[in-house]
Amino acid sequence: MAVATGELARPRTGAAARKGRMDTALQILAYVVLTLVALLMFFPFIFSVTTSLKTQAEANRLLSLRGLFWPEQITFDAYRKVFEADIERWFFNSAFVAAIWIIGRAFTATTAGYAFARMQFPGKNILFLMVLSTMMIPGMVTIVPKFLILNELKLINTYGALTLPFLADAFGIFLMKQFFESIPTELEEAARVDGASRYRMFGEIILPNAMPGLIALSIFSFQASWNAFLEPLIFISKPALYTLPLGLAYFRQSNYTEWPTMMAIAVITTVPIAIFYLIFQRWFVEGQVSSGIKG
Amino acid sequence: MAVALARPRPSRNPIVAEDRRAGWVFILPAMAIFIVFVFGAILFSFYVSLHNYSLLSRGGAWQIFVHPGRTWVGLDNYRDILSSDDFWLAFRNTAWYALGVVPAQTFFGLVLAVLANRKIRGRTFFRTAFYFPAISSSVVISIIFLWMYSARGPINYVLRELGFPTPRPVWLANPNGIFAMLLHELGIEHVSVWLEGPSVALLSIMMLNVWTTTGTMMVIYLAGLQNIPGDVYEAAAIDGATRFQMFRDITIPMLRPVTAFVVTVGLIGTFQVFDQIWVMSEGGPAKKTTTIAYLVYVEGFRQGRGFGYASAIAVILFLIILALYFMQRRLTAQDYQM
Amino acid sequence: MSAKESSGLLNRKVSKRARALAIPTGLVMASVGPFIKRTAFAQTTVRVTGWTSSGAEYDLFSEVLQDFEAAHPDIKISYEPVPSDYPTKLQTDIAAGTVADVFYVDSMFAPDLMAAGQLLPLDDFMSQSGVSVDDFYPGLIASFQWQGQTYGLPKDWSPLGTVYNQQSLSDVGITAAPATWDDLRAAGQALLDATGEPRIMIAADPARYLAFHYAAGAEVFSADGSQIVINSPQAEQALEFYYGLYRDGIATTPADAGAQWPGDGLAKGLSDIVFEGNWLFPFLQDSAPDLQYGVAELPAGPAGKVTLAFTVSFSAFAGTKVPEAAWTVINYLTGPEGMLKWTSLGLAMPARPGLAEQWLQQYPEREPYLNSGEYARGWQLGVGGQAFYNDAAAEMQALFAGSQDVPTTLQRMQEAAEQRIRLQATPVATPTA
Repeated sequence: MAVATGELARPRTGAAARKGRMDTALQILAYVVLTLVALLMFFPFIFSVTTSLKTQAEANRLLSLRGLFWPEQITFDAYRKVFEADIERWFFNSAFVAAIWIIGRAFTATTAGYAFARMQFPGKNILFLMVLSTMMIPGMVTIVPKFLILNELKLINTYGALTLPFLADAFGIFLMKQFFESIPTELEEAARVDGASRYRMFGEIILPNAMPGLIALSIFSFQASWNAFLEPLIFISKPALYTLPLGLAYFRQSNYTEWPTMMAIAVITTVPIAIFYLIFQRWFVEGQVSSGIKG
Repeated sequence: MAVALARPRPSRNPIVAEDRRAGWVFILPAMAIFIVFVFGAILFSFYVSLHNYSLLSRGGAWQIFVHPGRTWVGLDNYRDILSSDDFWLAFRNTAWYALGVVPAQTFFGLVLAVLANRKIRGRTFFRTAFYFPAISSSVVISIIFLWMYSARGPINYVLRELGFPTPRPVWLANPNGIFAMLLHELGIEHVSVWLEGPSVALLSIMMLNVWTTTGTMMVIYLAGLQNIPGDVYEAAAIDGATRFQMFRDITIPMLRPVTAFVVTVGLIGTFQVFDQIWVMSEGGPAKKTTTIAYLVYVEGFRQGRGFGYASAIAVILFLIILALYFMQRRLTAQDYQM
Repeated sequence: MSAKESSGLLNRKVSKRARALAIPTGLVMASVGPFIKRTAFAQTTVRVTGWTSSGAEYDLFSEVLQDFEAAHPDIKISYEPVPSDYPTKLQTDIAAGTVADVFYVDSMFAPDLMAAGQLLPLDDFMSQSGVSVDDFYPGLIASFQWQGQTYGLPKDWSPLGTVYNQQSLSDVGITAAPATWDDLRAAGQALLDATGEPRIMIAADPARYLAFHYAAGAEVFSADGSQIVINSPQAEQALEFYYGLYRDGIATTPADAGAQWPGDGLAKGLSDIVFEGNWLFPFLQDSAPDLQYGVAELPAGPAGKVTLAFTVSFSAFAGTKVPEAAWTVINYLTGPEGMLKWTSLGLAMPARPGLAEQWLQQYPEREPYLNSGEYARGWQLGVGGQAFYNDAAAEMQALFAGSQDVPTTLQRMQEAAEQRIRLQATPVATPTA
C-alpha cells in the first residue's frame, strides 16, 4: 500500500534497512497468524465432515488425532438416516419462505428507500429515524405481541406467520436509500422536464438501474430468512411447516448424542449455503461493509 | 447510528407538491408492516406487560382490550421481576456475556483486519474464510460446537493431550463462575454473586460467539482501514514515526467511528443471543446461561408466568438497550460528525 | 352439560349433517355406484397428537389407530405427532386454537391445563359409554381429575426401577440388585474399586431424586396440603445420599460420561446401574441388544420403599368441534383392546389393573415394576408443578456442579415451590394402586 511505496522511494539508510527487516518479520507474522486463524475457522467444519462419516461405535469411542481427521471405516449410514427425516420438506419450506422474504422486501425497501432518498414529504425525517432505530431492538422484545397479533389474524402455524411480519425491515430500507442516493439525479431531472410523475420515474428510470442494490438486498434477505430461528420456533408447531433451522434444532433434541447423524445434517445444510456464499462472496462482504461504513 | 444521514436537505425540488403525497404512497407498504409488527408491537408489549395473561388463558388477546379489568395487574409484573432472583441472574449473565464478547470480537477483529490489510497473497481467501462462520446457520454451528464441547469431543481431547484434566462437569454442563473458581483455588470462598463471573457453560457459548462474529468485525474494520488516506502514513513516516506509533496515533484514532459502530453492532448482537442458547444449553445448567432475552422466552412460551410477565421483562430489556445506546452516543458524540 | 343434553346435541348434529350430505351423496352413489361405498360415509376427522420417541413407537401407535379406524369407519384419524418440545408446542397450539382434538397430557402438567379450563370434561361421555373410573388404577386416574370432574384417561404408566448390567455386577461378586441404600452405595463402591470408574449413573433431575426424597420420609406438601415442606431433615438425608454418590465419585452423570441420559449410558457401556422406567427397554433392545440386564425395584430408603409413577392421559381439547368423535377415540385408545395393543410395545404398562396379568405374560422379567405399584407416588405437584420442576432441576444442577451445598439447595427448592405451586388448588400426591 501507500506506506510501502513511500518507503521504497527513499534511499535505504540504516534505519530503513532495519525497517525493511522488521517489515519482513511482520509479513511472516501476518501469514502465520492469519493461517492459524483460518484453520481455527475451518477445523469445526472439517471435523464435522469426518464425524459424519464415522460409525456410531467409532464416534462413541475416545478420540485420537487420526480420528479427528479420518474415520477408521467410512460409512454413509448417518446420511441415510438424515434423509429418513423430513429434510427435503424443511428445505422446501426454507426456500419458499426465503423467496417470499426476498420479493416482499425488494418491494417495500425499494419504494420506501426511494421515497426516503429523493422525496420531501411531511414526517419523513422523524419516520426514517424511527425506522432506523428499530434496528437496535432485539426480536425478543416484540415476540409476544407478534405472536398475539398473528394469533388474532389466525396465522399461527401457517406460512403467513413465517413471512408477513418480515416483509419489511429497517436494514433493507436503509440499504436501498443509500443506494438510491448514490445514483445521479440527472436522469430523473430529464424525465421531470418531460413531465413524468414520480411513479413513472420510479418504474422507468429507477427500477431498471436498481439491480446492484437489489442483489445486495436479496442476499441479505436470503441470509436472514434462511437462518431465522426464534420466530419459526414460536409461530410454528406443525412439522410440515418446519424450516431448516427449526427441523435441525428439533432433530438434535431427539438424536442428541448420535454425533455422526448430527454432523451429517450439519454438513448437508452447510454445503448449499457455502456454495452460494462462494459465488456471491463479494456481495456478502460488501453489503456488510457498506452497512458498516455508513451506519 | 446514521443519525447524521437524516439531516433534512434544503429542497429545491419543483415537484414538491406531488412528493408530499407520493412520498406517503411510496412508504405505505413498508409502513403498513412496521406499524403493525414493529411500532404497534412495541406499544402492545407495554400494554400486555400490565396484565396477567398467558398462553393458557381462555379467549383471544382482544379481550385484554375489551375487558382490561379482568386481567389488569398494573405494575405488579415489574415489581415481581425486579425482586426475583431469576431476573438478576439473567441480568448478570447478559452483562458478563456482553462484557466478554464485545471487547474480544472487537479486538480480534481489529488485529486480523490490520494483518489482512497488508500487501499479502490470498487476502481474498482469508477474508472469505474468516467471514464464513458469520453466514452459516447459527443452529448448525451450535450443533457442531455441542459436539466440540462434549465429554469426548475434540476440545477435551486437545486438553487431555496437553495434560490438563477433563473439567468436571464438562463445559456446557458446568454452572460454576470462572472467577469464583479462580478465587476458590486461592482459598477464597463465598464471593458475591456479582463477582462470580460468567459460568463455564456461558463462557463456552461466549467463545462460540466470538468465533462466529470476529470475521464480521474484521470485514468492517478492513473497509475502515482502506478509507484512511495513505498520505497520512507517509507524512508520519517522514517524521520518523515507528509502526507502533503510527498504529496508535493514526490508525486507532482514524478508526474511532468504525469502532463505535462495531461496538454498537456487538452490543445489539449480544443482547439478542438466543439460538445458540436454545440449542446448546436451554438456559441451563442451573439457569447460568439464561440471558434476559432467553428469560422472556421461558416465562412467555414455556411453562412460565405468562405473556404479561414476559412482556414486562421485554420492556425492561428494551429500556436497558435504550440506556446503553444513549450512553454510547454520549461517549462517542464527536464520531457522529463524519 | 348433562348426558341427556349431550346426546340430544349429538342427534341434532348428525341429522343436520345427514341432511346436508343427502343430496350430494345420493348423486355420487347413483353415478359411481358401489365402487366408492366406503368413502361415501359421512366421515368425521379427529386430529390426534402426542410425542413420539422412536420409529417403533410411531409405527405401533399408527397400527393401533388403524385398528380403530377399521372398527369405526365413520371416524378418520389424522395423527400429527410432535417430535420434541411437546409441552411448549401444546400450549402454543391451545392458545392458537389449532390444537389437535385428542392429545397426550403428562400428569405433571395436567393440573395447569385442567385449572385453565382447556380440557374437555369426560364424565358424561364415560357414563354414557359405561366406562367407570374404577376400571383404572385410582392413583393414575386421580392425576387427571379436577374439582370432581375427569379430564383425561390414563393411557399407560411406568414407575422407576433399578436396571443393571448383570455381568458387571457378578464380576464384582454381586448377585442380587441392591435392596437398600446401603447396598447401593456398597455396590457402587465395589464397582468403583474394580474398574476405577464410577459405574452408577444418576442425573441431577428431580424426576429421579424425588423417589429418594419420599423414601427418606420427606414430603413436598404437608398432610393437609396447605404447606410446602420440601426442606426437612429427612430431605437433607435423602439429598445428601443421592448427591453424595456423585460427590464421592461412586456415581457419574450423563454429561460427565458423554451420554444423553442414564439409559443411554447403560446401553453404551458407560455405566452399570441406572434408575429408569419401562421406556428404557425398547431403547436397550435397539441400541444394546446383547446386553444382559437385570431389573429390580428401587432400593428401599430409611422410610421404606417408594418409587415415582409416571403417567400420561389421552385428553380432549375443550374447544374441539367433534367432542363425541374425540371421546370415541379416547375410549378406544384407553379401552382394553387399544391399551393392550399399545402397551404390548413394552414402553409402559397398562393403566387398567385388569390388563396387568396379560401384560406380565409378555414381559415376565418386569414383574418388579408391576409390584412397585403398591407403593408408587404419583408424578404430580399441582398447578405450577411443571414450572417448579424446571426450577428444582436448575437447583440440582447447581448442587451437582458444587456451586451450592445440600441445605442451600433444599432451601431454594422450597422457595421455588412456594413461588410456583398454587397451593390452595393442590391435590395431595396419592399412592397409585
